[in-house]
Amino acid sequence: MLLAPSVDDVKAIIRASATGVLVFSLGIALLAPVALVLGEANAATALLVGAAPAVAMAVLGRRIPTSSLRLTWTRAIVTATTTWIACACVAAVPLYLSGHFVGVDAAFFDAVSGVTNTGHSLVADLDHLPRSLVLLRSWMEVAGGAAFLFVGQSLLEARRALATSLTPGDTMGEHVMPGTGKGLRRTWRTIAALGITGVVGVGVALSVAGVPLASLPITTISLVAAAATTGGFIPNTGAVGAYHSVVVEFMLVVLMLGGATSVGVLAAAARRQHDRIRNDFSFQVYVGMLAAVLAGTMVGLARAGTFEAVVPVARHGIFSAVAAVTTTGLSTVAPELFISDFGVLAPAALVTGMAVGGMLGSMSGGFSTLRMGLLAKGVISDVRKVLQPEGAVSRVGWMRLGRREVLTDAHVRSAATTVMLFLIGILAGATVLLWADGRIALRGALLTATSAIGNVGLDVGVLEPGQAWYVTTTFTILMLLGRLQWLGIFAAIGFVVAIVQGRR
Amino acid sequence: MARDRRSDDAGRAVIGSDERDRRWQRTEEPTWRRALNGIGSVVVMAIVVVLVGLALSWLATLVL
Amino acid sequence: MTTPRTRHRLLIAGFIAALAVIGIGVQWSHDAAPRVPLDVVPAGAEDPESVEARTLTCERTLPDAPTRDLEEVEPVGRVSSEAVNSCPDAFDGQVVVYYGEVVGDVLQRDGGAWTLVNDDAYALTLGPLSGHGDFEGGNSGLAVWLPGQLATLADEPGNADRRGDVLRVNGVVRRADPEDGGGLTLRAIQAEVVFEAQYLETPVNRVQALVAAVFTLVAIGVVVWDRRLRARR
Repeated sequence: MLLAPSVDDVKAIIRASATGVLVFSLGIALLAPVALVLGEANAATALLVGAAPAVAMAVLGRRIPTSSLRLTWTRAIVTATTTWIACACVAAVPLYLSGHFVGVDAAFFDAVSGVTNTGHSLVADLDHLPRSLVLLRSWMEVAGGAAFLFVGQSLLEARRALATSLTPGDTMGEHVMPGTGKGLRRTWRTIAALGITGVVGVGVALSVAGVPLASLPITTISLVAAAATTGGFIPNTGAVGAYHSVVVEFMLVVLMLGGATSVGVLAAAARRQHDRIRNDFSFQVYVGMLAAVLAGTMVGLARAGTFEAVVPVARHGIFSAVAAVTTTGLSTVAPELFISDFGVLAPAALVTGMAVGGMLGSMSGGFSTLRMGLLAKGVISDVRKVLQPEGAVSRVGWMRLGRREVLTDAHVRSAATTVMLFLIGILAGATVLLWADGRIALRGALLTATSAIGNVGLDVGVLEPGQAWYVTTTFTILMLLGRLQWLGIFAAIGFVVAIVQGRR
Repeated sequence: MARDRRSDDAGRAVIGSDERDRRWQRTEEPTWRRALNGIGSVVVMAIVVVLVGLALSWLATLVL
Repeated sequence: MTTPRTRHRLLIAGFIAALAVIGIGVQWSHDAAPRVPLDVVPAGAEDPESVEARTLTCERTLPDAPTRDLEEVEPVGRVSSEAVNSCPDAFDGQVVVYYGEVVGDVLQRDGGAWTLVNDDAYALTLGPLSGHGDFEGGNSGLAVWLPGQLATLADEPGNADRRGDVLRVNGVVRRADPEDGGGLTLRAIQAEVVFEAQYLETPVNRVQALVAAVFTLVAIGVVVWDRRLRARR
């Protein structure tokens, strides 16, 4: 039986969403003068056409009177979902007006890809895209990444447990207070530290690599945003390899690893609590996954004969493995080479890394190392129960940044549900691609679908401008499902259904 | 007397002479230095990843 | 005196009406975008003597594995970047001819420069998309090393307001260039500019400017009104 949400619930959600949309739209509006300075008048007006009405509507939305501003779990999840979708709608307008997208669906696809930190793009003629719109792509990644961290951190702090153990039913009535306290400060400090390090480091590296001064700022911001937020939007089609610089690639590896490490671990590192980090279960699985994907990629590349010397295997293997596990999706080679030249084992290792993703509480996607680890612990626990004498009681625990947690059936069930939903999403996406274009190989379809739902953005030349509308729609939904970990979309759908059918 | 080993989540400074207590005490470091600690850890992690990657690639090219 | 229910309905109606106005404004701006196409590049107007561009099933040829799904390729002659990226193994070590537009940044290094040279429709036949509005897929190109004096050839790469210098490059394809850490590159032996950079003279979209001005004024009005109300409280 569904209980219809009250009018106050709807109003509270609108008010909370309006704040997020306002901040996002102001960021877009600020790009308009930048576009004018760059001599891109049409891009400047396009940015204003998108941002101005959104600002007006957000300001009006914040004026909606409501008796209670407190966000329960359900309200918070629905707010996050509606804010992400609304921000994508706002960003889609200047993208559509740029003339670089076949239709509104393609522009919306790119906008969703940006705010969900995926990195897939249907932009046509990226190499002639106005530079202010390159900055817009970066802004989408930064805003989406920050919002994801902030929302995730707030929800985690409110519950003092894993997001993975939660369903809306468990926490009905519990109040969430996003936007206050150390969660928000920690989030912004983390992003700022990563960003500043990145801008300085990548900027210097690009300058040494020969990037002219005139294009250095935009190229730096674009690459730093892509790596640190694990977004993956590149400023041109040449991939990271277009800079032919190992130093640039190393700096991007640092940023990618930072973006995929949870805020809690980064905060512990800041306080030099290395013991806690070493014992943190999620971090251990993260490191383990990284090592496994590295090994698989290296062996795959060597076995396929793609590269014969140590340096090329290391360079492309390390970068690809880190980009996959952190779900950034950047690459040092042209995307098509993943299918045509990397063999079979290396792409398989990369796909596995992409599906699992980074740490929960970071900006990366995938179903997270923590869920992977909990699933594994669940299996071990079940095997132990079978082997132990009847009546024996065993408790499986794991460390979470200095605190011992006990593995419960709810943890394992929630992790298994999420993983299963991810796999269903991958199969659905691959099926749609294979249906749309018979020339696409199964490997390419699976890789692309995993990349979308894992918010990776590793394009192997399968998704391209002019894609059928049902492909863009399916993959837009997959990216949203992946970012909101399915939960947000289910909560939003349930909320709407409850409004229509719920009992009052 | 049992030393309070609560971490700096509680916001209390722990004064003690043994190494373990010092590890858990709230640092007096300024925010910028703490930020550098965090980024420094990530840089170290990246260096380790590169070294492990180099070792693995050397092994892979040697064996295969 | 309106009831809450009526007020809510009016709010929803107002929201939908606002969305409709915004949608109309956006579509009107989009349709009014002026188009001033560039000249067709002579080199790109001919069909390249190369294989069918998109070979999605081309696989890495292992030493003992039989080749499959590989089209017949001309070992020497003009190639396209899509063919090379689809089957790099087939072109490794071959001397090829490649036409393309310099895009991105020219990275000056010791002994030469790295460039990204695209040969898609936006680079050659049609020109930058904003000039003509015809969609022909995405960008595609190769990393080209211009040694010595050739490095000074490409001084105007393409960007949003121009098609860059179009080069004809005679060079060797390296599938895993050891001097580039294993990257796929085209090392130029000879190169020449066949078409100088050409600037787009796209005029300002006046309809879009008008719509932007109206929307911005409304937004400023709403913000000012909101501030005044808050100040009164």
